[in-house]
Amino acid sequence: MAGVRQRRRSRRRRKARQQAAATATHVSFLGDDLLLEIFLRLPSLATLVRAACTCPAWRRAVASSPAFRRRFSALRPAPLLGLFADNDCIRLPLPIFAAADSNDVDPDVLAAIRGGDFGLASLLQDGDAPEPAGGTSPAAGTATSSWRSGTPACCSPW
Amino acid sequence: MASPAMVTLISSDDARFEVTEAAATMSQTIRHMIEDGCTDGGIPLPNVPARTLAKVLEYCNKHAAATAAESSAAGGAAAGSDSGSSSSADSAGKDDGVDLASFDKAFVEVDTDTLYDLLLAANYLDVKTLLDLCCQKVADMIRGKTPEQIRQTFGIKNDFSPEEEEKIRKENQWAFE
Repeated sequence: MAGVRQRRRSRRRRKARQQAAATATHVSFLGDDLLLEIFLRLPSLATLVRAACTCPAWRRAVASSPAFRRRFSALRPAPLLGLFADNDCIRLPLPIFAAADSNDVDPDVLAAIRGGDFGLASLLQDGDAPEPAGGTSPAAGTATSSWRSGTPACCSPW
Repeated sequence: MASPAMVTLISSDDARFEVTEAAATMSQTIRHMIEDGCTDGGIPLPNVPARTLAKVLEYCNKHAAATAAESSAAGGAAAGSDSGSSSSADSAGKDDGVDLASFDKAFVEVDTDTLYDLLLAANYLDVKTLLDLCCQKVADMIRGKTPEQIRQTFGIKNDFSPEEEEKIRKENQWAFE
């Protein structure tokens, strides 16, 4: 039984090889490695997300390779979405989020700023002191800066 | 001057291509085969059909010739030999940069099937600059498109169920605005 199955499998593999040698008639012939090489050359994370939403195979290719995601994000430093700042004058319980200047950022980053939740209210519900945190958008890290300590911190979603 | 060393490449469908060693060794795979002395009777490339191999060799010939022209222009200028021809070789070298860029651009203006074939061949033959060129071309075809437009471009069937697609879209709403 196992022998038959193996033979059948090897025949299938041989057939696949012959087809690959003859001609590739569909993007799925490229395989995950080449697909990820292509994705690595996409201009932004938003483009990658849209590509990954095309079909389950492309989504799986991106999702199943942490090494690819590391390479992708290493090539594109996370853009600055904005700054958290303590405000001693008004005495708010949470730092204020100041978004990056909308004239200087690209449309995808702007969408991330608009779509993200930077209120930090969930931190208060946990009963913990506010700490540096990323927004809900995975598009970029947020820099957190305390005016008093003057030390910026950065969180990356990857 | 001695004629350049030639090698014979054999495609998966048994077509034979005679090319200069300089062009052939742009492929690291072929370079290793030559270094290992596996060239007697031609180098078999069972993963590359003739149609694709011809196209890959068009690329390799062009790039190898440009590299040779560049180095001979540099050598000619240094030695001061070939009186009269060195200045024209210089300008030819400069033109080659522009020429090569437009050659590359035109080279990947092909239908998607040919592009996939080139990608597979460049990957198998390990021609790094050609692989870069083809990957970049496909990436350029993806950029600025919605998932639906990407599916249309590449003839991809949408295997997501409507619920799945809605969920993914919601999770990544920021990328669709």
